[in-house]
Amino acid sequence: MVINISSAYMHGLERARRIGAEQAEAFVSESRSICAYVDGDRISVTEERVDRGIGVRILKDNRLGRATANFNGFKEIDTCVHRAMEAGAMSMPDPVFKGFIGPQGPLMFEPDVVSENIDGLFPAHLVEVAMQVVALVNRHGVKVPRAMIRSGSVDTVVGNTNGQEAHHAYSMVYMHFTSMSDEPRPGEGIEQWFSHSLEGFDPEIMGMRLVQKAKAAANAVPYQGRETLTMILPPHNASEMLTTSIGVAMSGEEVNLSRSPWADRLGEQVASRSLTLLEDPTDPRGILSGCFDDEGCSASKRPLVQSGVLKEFMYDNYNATKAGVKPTGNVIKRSTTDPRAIYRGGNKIAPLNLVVIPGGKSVEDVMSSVDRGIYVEQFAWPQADPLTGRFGLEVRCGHMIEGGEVVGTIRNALLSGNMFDAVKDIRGIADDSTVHHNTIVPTMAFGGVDLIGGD
Amino acid sequence: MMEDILERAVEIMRAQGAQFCDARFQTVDGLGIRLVDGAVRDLSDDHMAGVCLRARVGGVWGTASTVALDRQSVSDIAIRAVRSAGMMRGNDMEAPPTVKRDMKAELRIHPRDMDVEQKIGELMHLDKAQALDRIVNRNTNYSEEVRNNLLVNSSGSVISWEEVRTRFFAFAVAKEGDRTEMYYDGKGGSAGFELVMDADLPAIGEHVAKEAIATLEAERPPQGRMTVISDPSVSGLLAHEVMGHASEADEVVKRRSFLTDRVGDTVASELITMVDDGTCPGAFGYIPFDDEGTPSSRSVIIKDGVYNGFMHTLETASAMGVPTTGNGRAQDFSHRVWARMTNTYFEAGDWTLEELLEGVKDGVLSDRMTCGMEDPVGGGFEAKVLRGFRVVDGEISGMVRSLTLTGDALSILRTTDGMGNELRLDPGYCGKGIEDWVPVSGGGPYCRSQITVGGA
Repeated sequence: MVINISSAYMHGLERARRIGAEQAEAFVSESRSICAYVDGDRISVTEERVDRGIGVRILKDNRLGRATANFNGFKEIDTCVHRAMEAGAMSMPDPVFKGFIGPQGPLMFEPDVVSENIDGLFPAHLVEVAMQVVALVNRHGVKVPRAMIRSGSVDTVVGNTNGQEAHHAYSMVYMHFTSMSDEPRPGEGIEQWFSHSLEGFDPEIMGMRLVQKAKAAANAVPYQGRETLTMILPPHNASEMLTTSIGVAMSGEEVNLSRSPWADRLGEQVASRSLTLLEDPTDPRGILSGCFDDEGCSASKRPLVQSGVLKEFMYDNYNATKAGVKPTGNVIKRSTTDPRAIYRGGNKIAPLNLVVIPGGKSVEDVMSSVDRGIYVEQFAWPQADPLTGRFGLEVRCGHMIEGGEVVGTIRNALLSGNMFDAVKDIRGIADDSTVHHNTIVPTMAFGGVDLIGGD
Repeated sequence: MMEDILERAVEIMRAQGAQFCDARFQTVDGLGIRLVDGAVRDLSDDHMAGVCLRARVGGVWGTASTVALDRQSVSDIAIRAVRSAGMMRGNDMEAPPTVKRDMKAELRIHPRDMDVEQKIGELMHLDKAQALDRIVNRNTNYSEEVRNNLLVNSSGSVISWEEVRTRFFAFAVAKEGDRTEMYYDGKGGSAGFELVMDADLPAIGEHVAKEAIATLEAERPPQGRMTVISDPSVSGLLAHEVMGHASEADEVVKRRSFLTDRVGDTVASELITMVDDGTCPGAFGYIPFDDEGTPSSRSVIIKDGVYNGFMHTLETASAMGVPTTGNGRAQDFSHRVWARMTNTYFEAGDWTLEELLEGVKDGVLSDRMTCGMEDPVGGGFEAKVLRGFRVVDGEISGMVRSLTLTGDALSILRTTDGMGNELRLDPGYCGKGIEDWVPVSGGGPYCRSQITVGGA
């Protein structure tokens, strides 16, 4: 017997009540996803996945327990509820948590984040798109050693015994392509693409970017020397560097645990006046946008940093209770890249859709305003230390800028700095806002970072 | 009975035109406990079960998975797996030999045989010991996972096996003025709860707290190429990220690896022998069989500095005409199989740490990896390190905070002039690119090489 997610959720809550839970919350997700993999310029694997699962949290005697399971019928849901109850019984009384959120009132907005076409897609459709890109890249003498296109549709419902119930549905398409040029040495390009549908995807644009990136990486030369300069980060790198540093610092949990460098800085100037960061779950471009978060709390559009001033933190219900504030609708389980098993995760505090307000300049104008800098096309892995903001990153492909002009392309260099300092020294924000995971970010330039040569 | 359902699915896939196919049923049961500042912040009991079917048609894998475990649902996806594969044309593959085995994990204390309350009680020792002055946040994470696998394939194999992993770690956050630093330690392995019971938890807890406090005094690391003595966790990262990922044969058959065509070449100092060994008893990456039903094995990747070979799936071994090595791994039943590492390490040499330090005029001794990233195309290396120590004229002279090690992999390994005499493996999860996480371990001894250092 196949049961729908609403029945599953209601059955879970009813079962929890019957076995003595004081309060219970159930999160149920159902997804269908398809995927096509390219290995060595040809399709190697196609996939079709169906997934359905439940996450249950139970509160009794101030003890909180959680269990998750995938299910095909009510029996697995019953078992999951019992496991959550047992986990709670064996836990310790929580001095903070008083219960799940209450009813949230009427919907204030409903972004269109569902493409009706997604459910009609089969692996053959993704194969066709993937091979269009591969053919175009190959025509320029460049290979596609590895690529993946995944599409999926996700339905979720989360609710609790306090009467809150929230439904959310979204569709997603995620692409990750690599390209490789052998001349004069192997160089790799990487391109990602995030959307709710295949509409608007242009294989030619993706293909040409892959060609350019692979050739640039192949022609890059080892950097020699040591200097302090401006780093210009295209949207994907700017997004990762912001979310792993100040994105974490704005989490209410990090604030409560005294781990956020911004814990005592509400209302203060923490960044350049040119930086405004919005949480905007109303924007339909955002892959995770929606009117509720995955705890069932109403989400809203609001500034987190406005003209460089820290305005708000993001809270789930637990940390909001601890801090004596209201939850902000920032719990995410949903994923920008993979619809499978999203019911399994715990409650992560993050923006549903973090938007950097774009500047008025083109990328070319931002670059031309830089006296000495590096436009970093590819890091090994863009990531700052969330506790300190420090970073030391291997540059795999970067374009050196002198007097506003690109004067060469380098590799094998190490770029180091601190993101909490870097956001105070923003030298430019471009107008090329791009969706990357749960953010919409343009190219950004930051001053005062160190570049170190190696071998 | 699940074996019958899988056998039926294999029959259907064969009848639909699959040249080779397999069907895998997997259950994954996990328990996670997170203690924060003396309280249970999260206690989660997780269960997952599903079936994955793979059909090889015309040299392409068609894959389908479902959480609906009845005969009809599994039969339905068998047809879909074959149809989706049948759209393309690729290279043929040799079918594996028949294997019939039923294996249970060998443990002293099966995690499911112990009360959760007792587990929390033990872990509280780890939490309480972190409570020192200037520690503003203490954390203890525990996880256990029991995987049961049943695989049936068109070669007639029927294999069932259990994998059990247990892991714990503590991290303490220290603060003074504007400075905030952390330190971590823990253990993990293919083991039961004896891993926790045998550990000196108060000592580990106190250690992470004291070291987090000590790191508050750490200075900015030096910049530039210099002598680096990598600690076992960073040596493991070097083995795993640099040579390991580039030795996964699926990267080699499509010529994405900088080690393609390098078998027989000298790629490192003659002091270096590197191994991937899925049979390491107790190691976090131990697997009796890979997810294609191949028994795991020990592969020598580098022997005395000479490059020796790759880690294989059924498909890559067939493509290269060599025996498979049991490295075809998937995150779980809902993810595809790739060529993956298991336990990857540099073998120990015969130097003491003191002897390694003696020869250093001006360098760095690393202390604990944070993370790393592979570069199979370019052969680059990036390792983020929690902290380190300056070494001047053979003496440790002061602590340096978070640093990054980078450089060209082969250039680094060719400069290695000393290998420590003690091998240590650390547990972790390895992704292929940005997803598909599998449990592995990495390690080695202290190694002395020339590496570019930087950090803020």
